[in-house]
Amino acid sequence: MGFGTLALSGLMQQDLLAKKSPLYPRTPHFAPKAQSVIFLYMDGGVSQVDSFDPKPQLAKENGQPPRFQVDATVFNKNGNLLKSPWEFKRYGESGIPISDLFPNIGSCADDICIIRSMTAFSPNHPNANYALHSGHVLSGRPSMGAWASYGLGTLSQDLPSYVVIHGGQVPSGGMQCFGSGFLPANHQGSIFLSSNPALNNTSHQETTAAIQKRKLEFLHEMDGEFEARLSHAEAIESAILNYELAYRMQMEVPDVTDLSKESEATKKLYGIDAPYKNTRAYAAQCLMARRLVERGVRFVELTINPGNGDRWDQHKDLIDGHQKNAMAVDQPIAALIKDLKSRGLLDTTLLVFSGEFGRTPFAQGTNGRDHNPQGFSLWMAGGGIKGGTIYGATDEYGYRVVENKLTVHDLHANMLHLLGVDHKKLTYRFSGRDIRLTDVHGEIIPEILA
Amino acid sequence: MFLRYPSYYAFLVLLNVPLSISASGLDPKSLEYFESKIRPLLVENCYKCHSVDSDRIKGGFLIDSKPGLLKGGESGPAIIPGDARNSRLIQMVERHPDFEAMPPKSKLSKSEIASLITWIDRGAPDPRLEETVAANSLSDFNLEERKQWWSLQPVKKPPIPRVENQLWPTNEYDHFLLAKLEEKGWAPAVPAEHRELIRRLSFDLIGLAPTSNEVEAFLYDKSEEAYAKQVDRLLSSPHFGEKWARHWLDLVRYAETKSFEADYTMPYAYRYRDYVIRALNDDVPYDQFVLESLAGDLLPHPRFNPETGENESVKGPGYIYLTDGQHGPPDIHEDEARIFDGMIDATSKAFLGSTLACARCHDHKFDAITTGDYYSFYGMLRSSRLSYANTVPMHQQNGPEKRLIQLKPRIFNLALEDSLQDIERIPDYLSATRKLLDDPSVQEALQDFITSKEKENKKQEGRAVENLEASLGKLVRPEAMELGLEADLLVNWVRLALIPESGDQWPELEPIIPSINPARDKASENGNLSKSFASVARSLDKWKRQGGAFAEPENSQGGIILNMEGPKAIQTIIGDAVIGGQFAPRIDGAIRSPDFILDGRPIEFQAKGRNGAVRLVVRNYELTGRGPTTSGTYKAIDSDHWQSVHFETYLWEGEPAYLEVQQNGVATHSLHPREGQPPPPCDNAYVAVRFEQDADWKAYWQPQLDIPNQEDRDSAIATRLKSIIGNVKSMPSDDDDTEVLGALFSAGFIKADTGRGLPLQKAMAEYRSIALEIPAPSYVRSLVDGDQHDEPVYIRGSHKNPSKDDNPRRFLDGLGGSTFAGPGSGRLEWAQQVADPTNPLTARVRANRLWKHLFGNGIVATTNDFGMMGTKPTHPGLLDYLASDLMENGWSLKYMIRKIVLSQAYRMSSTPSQQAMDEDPGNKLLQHMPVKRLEAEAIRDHMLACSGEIDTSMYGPSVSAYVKDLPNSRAKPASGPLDGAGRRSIYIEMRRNFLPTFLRAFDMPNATESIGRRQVTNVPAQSLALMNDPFVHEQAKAWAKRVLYSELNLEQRIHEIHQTAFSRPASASEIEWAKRFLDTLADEYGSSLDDLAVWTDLCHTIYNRKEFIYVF
Repeated sequence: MGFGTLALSGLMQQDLLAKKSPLYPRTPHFAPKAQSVIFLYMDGGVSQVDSFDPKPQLAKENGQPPRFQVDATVFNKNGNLLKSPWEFKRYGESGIPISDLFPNIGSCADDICIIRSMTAFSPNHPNANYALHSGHVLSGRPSMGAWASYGLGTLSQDLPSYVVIHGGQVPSGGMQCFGSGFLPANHQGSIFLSSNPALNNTSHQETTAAIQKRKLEFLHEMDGEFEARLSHAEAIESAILNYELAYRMQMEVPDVTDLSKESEATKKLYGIDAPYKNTRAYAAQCLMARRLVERGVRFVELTINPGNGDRWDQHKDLIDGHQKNAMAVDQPIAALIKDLKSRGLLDTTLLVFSGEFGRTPFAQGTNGRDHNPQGFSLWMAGGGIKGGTIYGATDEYGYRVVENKLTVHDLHANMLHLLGVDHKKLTYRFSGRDIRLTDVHGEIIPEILA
Repeated sequence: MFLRYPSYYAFLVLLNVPLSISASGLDPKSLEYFESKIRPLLVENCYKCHSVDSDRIKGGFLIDSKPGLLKGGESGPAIIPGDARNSRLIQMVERHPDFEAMPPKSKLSKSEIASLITWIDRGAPDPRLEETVAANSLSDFNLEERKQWWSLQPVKKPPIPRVENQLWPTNEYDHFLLAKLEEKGWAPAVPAEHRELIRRLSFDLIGLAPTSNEVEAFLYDKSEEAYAKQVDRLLSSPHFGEKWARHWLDLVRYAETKSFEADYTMPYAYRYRDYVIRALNDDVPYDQFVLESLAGDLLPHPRFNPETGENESVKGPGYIYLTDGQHGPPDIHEDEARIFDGMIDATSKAFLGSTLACARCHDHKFDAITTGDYYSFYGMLRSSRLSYANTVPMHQQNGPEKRLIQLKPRIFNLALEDSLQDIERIPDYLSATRKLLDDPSVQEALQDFITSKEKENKKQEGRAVENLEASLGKLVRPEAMELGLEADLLVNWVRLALIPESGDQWPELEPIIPSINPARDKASENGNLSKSFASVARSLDKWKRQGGAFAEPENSQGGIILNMEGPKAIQTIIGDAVIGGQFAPRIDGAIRSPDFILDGRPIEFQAKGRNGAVRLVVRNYELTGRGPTTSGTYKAIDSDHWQSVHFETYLWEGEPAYLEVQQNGVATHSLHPREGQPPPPCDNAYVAVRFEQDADWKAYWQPQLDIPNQEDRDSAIATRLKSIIGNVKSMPSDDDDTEVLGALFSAGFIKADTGRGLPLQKAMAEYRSIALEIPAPSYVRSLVDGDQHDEPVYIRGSHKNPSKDDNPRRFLDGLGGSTFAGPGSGRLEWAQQVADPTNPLTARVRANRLWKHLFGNGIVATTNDFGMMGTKPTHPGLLDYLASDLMENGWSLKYMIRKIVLSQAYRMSSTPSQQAMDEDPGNKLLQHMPVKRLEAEAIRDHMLACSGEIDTSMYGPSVSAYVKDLPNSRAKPASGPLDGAGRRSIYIEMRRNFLPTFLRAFDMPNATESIGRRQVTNVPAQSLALMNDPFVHEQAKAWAKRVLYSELNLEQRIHEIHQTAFSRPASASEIEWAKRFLDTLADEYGSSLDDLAVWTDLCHTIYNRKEFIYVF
């Protein structure tokens, strides 16, 4: 209940308020498969050959210098081929092989579609991050969440349309990854922290909520007078209505982020009580993501909390770093899939698990891996995705894509497609051009669609 | 997967196969092979994107005919008949890493590839002889047609339209507006009330509300010029520049950091901001501003600041490299292309309202812009280099320098005379050193040093040396006393003898220094410099100097570097080398090599100096010294002995590069600190580099070393040194002798101590005081011209695929395209063409921006795009009139702003007529003044003004960004104050990765692209910020304190609050409202009307009033 329910009367006003909102839901281009996206962003770059793309050849040639042409790497300290320290097991009816890093995600194998032929535009974190998020290696372009928000609005008028649940590590490249670029600012990612308040400026500074409410009522009175004086100025009316929205958001954010209302069984499923602190933290993020999606938030992105002091970016100590990061996310993500499924939400929620690039099949130094943009794996699940499938392939070492190459444009095109948006029609006029998330590229991949 | 496309069977039916046989003249076997193996393969896998029927032909390549295959696409021929291995088609389908993989989504089978190879090796027999022509080709670019666009037509000053209501207009501009309204039969809105008008005017001109006194003064001034007086007052306010500079900074994507991973700072970026503010306040003619922006470093007669005398013009190009930037890009050419793209985009939009960057990959889709235009600009940027210019004008440096040149020989002679006494005693120092080396306590001290050094990490090595020197001092002092030697000199001898690393630093002296380890006899490390880069070094005359540091005055005394602090007179003496800073450290500068292509071998040379830096700049890469692969392209030079510089280049083999030696490099760009400013320039700075070092120091000393008797040898050494002094006095002397003498001074074996003799002391004091008359260097980011370079067009925008055709640097093809004749980069010529009164865009674009900022909308709404994708002018005649008026009045922006705000139109009320509201909701015809929301900066500044916390001081380094409300990340700096120290928003640090949240909420742009008109959004984050941001509450409290603790009574306080916030007293209903508010809140708190919390709440609520952020 907002403060304005006293001042504003009747449903008409409420309806007007909603319609004036720039986030008012818009009609998709065609019937959507998914209503929301949860983007599980694996900051730093998961190693494909250690997770979803087994390469027996690496074991055979372990320790030998690569016999293929090696591109320039970021650290330029390329070592010999390095076999995966993890075993792969086949899971589910589909028999998809997944490494021992992700036994819980493995248990959902029949729900996920692994894409083994993903490529990145840059071997550098910031550029690849910008590209993964905005389709562009430059900073400052609108993020995919912002595009989704711009194209579709939100189903919740009390929450932002694009929420980033922050795990502790801002991606290299900074907050620009979640920005709205040239799109109106209301589409930018709202950063939810695990601290209180979850969202900046959503807790009142007054000693009591009642005092704030009193003040807002007084404010409304005088603003009403001003509006009457300038009755022709729509902007002022909108600005007044905006306070209603803001106030409701201020009420809603603490509620949606309050996990105490979840059952013990649910919390346990996610790993809220797990022994490893990063698992507990990521469990809370995943659970919060479900709660946001339930309330109609269009696009939720999760950043990770660093495992051994870093992201998935294991230039050295691959085993320690990947093990810890996997331990943090494996159980919560599997729980998220299962929980969404049991609530009937998996069909309308698209999950995407991806880093900004993969890692080299040869070592950096002796026990790390450098960045590899030439081929890596991601997976998708839920709304409109054909579970239990594998699409695309890398070469026998897992270095370069050799089959069904995908770029971020293809990824974005398919994500929008599942949301009912034709990526070629979602444009914004800026700088003399009608700009798209997918630039002039992007192919829909029928093989991965249910 | 491509079965939705016609199968080859269908094609066979469509084509008349027998006819093809005769027409193509192929033998049946070849024809059969083609039809059965090749054609189906091509149709299924390639025709989707490479045939005349493709929706969009990719890469300009048609595979559906023999000529098409032979011609290939934008990347050249697809096949070489008879040579499958080297045919691009095969390399692509085999997915060779250097080529684009085709087909993109699926790999051809091995047998399919084998068929293609066989076919090509057999000569690629192909019956499809007729060249196909795509229907929807992109090559319909017709420059002449495109040039007909309205904005490219010459500006013609139109006649002033007649209007019926002759009483309404105050100037010509009004005629144009009124004529259009009268066409509609509409009357313009009534004049705004005086209070509204003065508030509108004040926010528009200086970004701050009028004070109560200013409002009153206006209201009580009944003279006819009352309003004009206010206009003039505001135009001459220094705050005018602060408000209008921000508009310009939007256009040039002003920021102070580089974004990406580490968000490195750009030192002195703020001085560009200050330059713009000052230029606007000084009303620098816009055509002059254009020249300075693009070529301020090249102007033969720069503009000097009338107060400080500094060079203003050279600051103009400071905007160009305000780009983002990352460390260690694997493809440095791609990085350059990316960064230049941003420069081209910002420049063409800001000055010409033109989207030149749209022509990066192909000719512009709509406008008269060729892709050649784009790369011509690229070539101009390649022919220019980022530099840090010293804004202290040369004439302030030259006078003192002349006196220093005269004084220097005297000092040198005095110092040499003084040093004779030390040289006389060198045999005693040598024997004392030897004696001490045998002393077990000295050896013990050395042992302690070695153990402690092993234990310490590199950073603490300095401490170990200090400890050693302290203990040596204790041991050496009695010995020195006994022998009548200088204790500090003896310590130096012993130290060099003891510590091998110290000995290595002085290879010139090493052969004569006694050693604790007689076996130590290694060859000098010098003399083995790589010759890789020698060809560049040998043409040193082609290196370009910037500033006065590296100039070679006629009466040069070689490289005698005097010490500017402490008792020592001589810092060092340098032989054959490039030397910067030899007369006064404050005469600053840099020297840069010509461009050369890296051959992959290391570049090696030697350098010495204080606070100097050397850099290898590959492809104009700015962040040298940072990142995994690029950190090795920078070296700080900070010691008086020669040190080796070694730049690895194998990562950039084939790329163009240049070397840069910067006298005060550590104080400038070389560092890119993560936060804060670089260290101030050093008053003892000099730098020297040399590319050859062939001296064999053992051979040099051999005659002395050959003397068997130790005593005779020692005195022979002293004798030789004495003769060196004699030689050196008559400079230029033998280089080796000079270097030896320099080493003696720098290593501390001879003193030239000002404490020893009055003449030297006096002369040095005079020298130093003259040197300090020169103002300390004051740096700005600017450009210098490098080598001339034309950049070819990159086909499809790919830097890996440059065209073979010439693409000379020239002005835009759509505006004449004249080639540059001058010797430089072409920037000056480009700028002159932009500033030329016949340029149809410059004045229109500029005038339109002024109009936009005052009326909320431009006459052309898309202020950055006067092309086909932009909007057309609502009042074309007015736009041309404005453009002419601007040029005819000396390109004075203040003239035009003044005239616009004096127009009747600007003074209208914001209340529309019903008709206008219904028929022209966008107010294109300007029937009334629009209601405008304040810009982000004005909202924040107005809050500070109300609270009284505002600090209106101008200029200087920015206040560190407040970042506590942003999540942690690796590049996060220490937070600045919540209230930005009360400074106006334009002085808040613009960190790209940590932009001020409050300002961003109100649509301050993100400093990425050129922005001509900001978004004006209405989003919950704004309401939330005003409701709950701690900054707003903090200011409310300060405001409440100011009001509450004044002499005013309750009602007066309420008036005061309204007066400050809204430039008017409270209305009756507001008084009543405020009283109720105070009573209610006091009740809530259970306190009284004197409670600060109650007043804080009132002030906070006023901040939240819509009237606070809207001007009408």
